Amino acid sequence: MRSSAATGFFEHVGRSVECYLSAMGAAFILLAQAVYQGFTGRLNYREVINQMSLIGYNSMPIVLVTVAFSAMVLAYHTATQFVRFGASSYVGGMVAVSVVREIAPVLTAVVVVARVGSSIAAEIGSMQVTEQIDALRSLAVSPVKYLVTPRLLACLTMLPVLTVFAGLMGVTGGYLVAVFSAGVNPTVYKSSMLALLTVRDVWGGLIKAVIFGGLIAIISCQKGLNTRGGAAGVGRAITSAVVAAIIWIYIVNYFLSILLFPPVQI
Amino acid sequence: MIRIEGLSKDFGTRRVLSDINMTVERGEVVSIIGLSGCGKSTLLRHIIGLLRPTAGHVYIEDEDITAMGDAALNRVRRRMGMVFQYGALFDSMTVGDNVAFPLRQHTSLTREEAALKVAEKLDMVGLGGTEQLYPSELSGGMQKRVALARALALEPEILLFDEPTTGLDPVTTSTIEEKIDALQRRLRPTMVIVTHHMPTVYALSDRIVMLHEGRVMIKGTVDEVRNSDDPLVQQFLQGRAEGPIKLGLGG
Repeated sequence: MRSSAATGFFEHVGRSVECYLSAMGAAFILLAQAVYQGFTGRLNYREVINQMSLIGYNSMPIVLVTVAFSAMVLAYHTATQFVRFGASSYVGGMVAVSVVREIAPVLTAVVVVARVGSSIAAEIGSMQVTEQIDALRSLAVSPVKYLVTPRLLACLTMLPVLTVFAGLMGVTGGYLVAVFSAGVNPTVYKSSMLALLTVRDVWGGLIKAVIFGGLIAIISCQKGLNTRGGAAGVGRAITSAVVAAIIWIYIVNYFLSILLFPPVQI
Repeated sequence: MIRIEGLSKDFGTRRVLSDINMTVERGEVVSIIGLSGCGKSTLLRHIIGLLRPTAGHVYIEDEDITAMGDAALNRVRRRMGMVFQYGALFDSMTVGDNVAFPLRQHTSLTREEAALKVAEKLDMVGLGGTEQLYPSELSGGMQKRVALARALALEPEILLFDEPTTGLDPVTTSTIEEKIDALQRRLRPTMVIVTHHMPTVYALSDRIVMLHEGRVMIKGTVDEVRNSDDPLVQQFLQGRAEGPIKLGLGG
């Protein structure tokens, strides 16, 4: 009895791992197809611009609010603690580096997943269950070229743009809170920021944003294209796209942080 | 024009089509009939390459589309048009944009030339002047006619219909049958119609292929099939509940 339960458990784990690995493989194949299609034939530039507007311009307010207030909370706690130990000269640098390396790219990506990833999965998923994807194929139009490549291009270009604005907003918000709420000297804050923040931090944040953009587009499109089972299936595709994209963003962010920002040798 | 040889299709462990052999000559109208779930639509999807067979081949003008890559398959598909069961119109586009879509994708027509072509195709299906409406503003029958106009946009040599009259009232059904018939007389495309609506079959077909449990049960001219002495064929044609066909409906 116990041995059959254990077998069932391992079978379940094995099937889950197989399912996950197969989804990862499918995502890589979709990415390769989308990139290939981007370089062959005529691309739908109108759709690329439309998607850039949806992903970039329309997401800007919520991204700015989210990152600014998160940075302000970080600045508040950092400043109040550092001032207690007489280390207020490190507050500016600490906050700016955290915002540029982590908060801006990661929170921007999470907000874009919630706002845009879900809508990509919903749109493509509902096209799938109403045979519109088959209609595209029957009209000799590749769904990857028509739907996936424009969204991939738009995410790859707009995530770094959003991250830049989010970073500027976060750094500004952090400065205002540290100076006016926690009493850090503005000159000390600025000089600390300039001393600790490097060009590498900015590039690192932008590289993360590009990779997160690719993850969001491919995962959302893949979940949409694999939708089965009517309206309930579309709902499952949206949930699955958002959950998978957020998990992957956090996992990939850890490894990118290790890779892009190795410890400084003193 | 269309030749299917030894086609079989499995979904998982379930065999949906088994050793299908049939041909459709140029300019001919062939109806594929059979019970719901017997594999008619699956067979139609193989003809336009939306599904790949587990075994067997589909030839369009002697080109084996089952062995083709996507680019070559798309080249063949440009000579084909398909009308889906529920229209499958792009719901984010207007009627005009739906019909213009294949023109924008595959031709270098100017906006004005495309608009003229769209108006001509919509007139052909009796829906002139509906360019600015969205699919959600149309009835089911009108959506199917727009889908027909979209399928006609590139003036295909082969037209495939998946249940063109199912779920429509008798008047709309007759209207659609008339449009398809007029189209056939005017342009002489090769047509494959999947349906279980027998008046549509008798009104439009040159030949009939009947599927049962994934196999070809009978094929021949309309008269040959109508006069078949096979009790299963007769039960289906006459729509009788009693006979060799037993539906697992419980109770």
